[in-house]
Amino acid sequence: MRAESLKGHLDGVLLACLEQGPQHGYAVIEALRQASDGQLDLPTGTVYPALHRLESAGLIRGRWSVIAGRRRRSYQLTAKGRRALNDERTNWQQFSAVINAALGSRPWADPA
Amino acid sequence: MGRPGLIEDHLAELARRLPGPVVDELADGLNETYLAHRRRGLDLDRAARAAVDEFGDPATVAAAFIRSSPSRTTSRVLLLSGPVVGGTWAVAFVAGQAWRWPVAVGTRVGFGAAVLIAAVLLGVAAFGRQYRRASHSAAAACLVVLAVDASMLGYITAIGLLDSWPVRAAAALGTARSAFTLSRLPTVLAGR
Repeated sequence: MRAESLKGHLDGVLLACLEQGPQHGYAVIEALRQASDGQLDLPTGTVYPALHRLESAGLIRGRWSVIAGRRRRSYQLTAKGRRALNDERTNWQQFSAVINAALGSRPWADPA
Repeated sequence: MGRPGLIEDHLAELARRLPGPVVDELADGLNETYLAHRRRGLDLDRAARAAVDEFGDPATVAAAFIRSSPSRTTSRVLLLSGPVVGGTWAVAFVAGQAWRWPVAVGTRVGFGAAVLIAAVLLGVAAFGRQYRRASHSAAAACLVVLAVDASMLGYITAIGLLDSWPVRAAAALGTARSAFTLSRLPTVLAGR
């Protein structure tokens, strides 16, 4: 799956990766990879700006810690982020139901 | 454990383009990626190459940071709203015969220069490809825009022009822009 396919959905997917609890950037990327069954073809360095964007929007909160002498930034969902994730899920389920119904139907019978 | 030269080079290139705290975070991620490849059995060089390839080249990563930065979105909003606010002031000036207002020529020129500087800074912040330059320009532009709006609002209040509806409309837009700029300023300053 290419990055373009994710356009418009990356934020929701990242929020979902953080739903179970705080994660640092690489753990989010790993969760993203597992969630997409390794199909996601995205330069992993570009996930970090997306996390920063979500943080600026108040959907996640970042916190620094020091692990093995290295600075590490972890993120967790805020209440606003949890609401945004629920909205994203609802919208996606409605959208996918419509597309499934349209694409899953059999071809119309030829009246001739 | 020391990092291979390839990863150090990659981080040095990122450090030339992005602020220190961002690079610290990327260094942790790149290091974890490298260690994950080592755990999968790759030797030092191949693990470093795989980590760097997977991470994306510095220009791509830096460009993604620029696109996502609050400086970029704030400056674009201010750049787009500029003609609207400016146009409303222009109507107010004509309606209020601003050429008769008791303002020294030097003040008028200084004000015009400030507006021009704000526009240039916003242009750099909105479309620039260098993170630091764009962030600094956005911060400076926010401060100039605030100064311009505050000067205008202060002046028309001081000389009692708020009874004219075009001036009130322009003042309302200027106030709204100031409120937006002030609300974004801490994030923009933090991103420098």
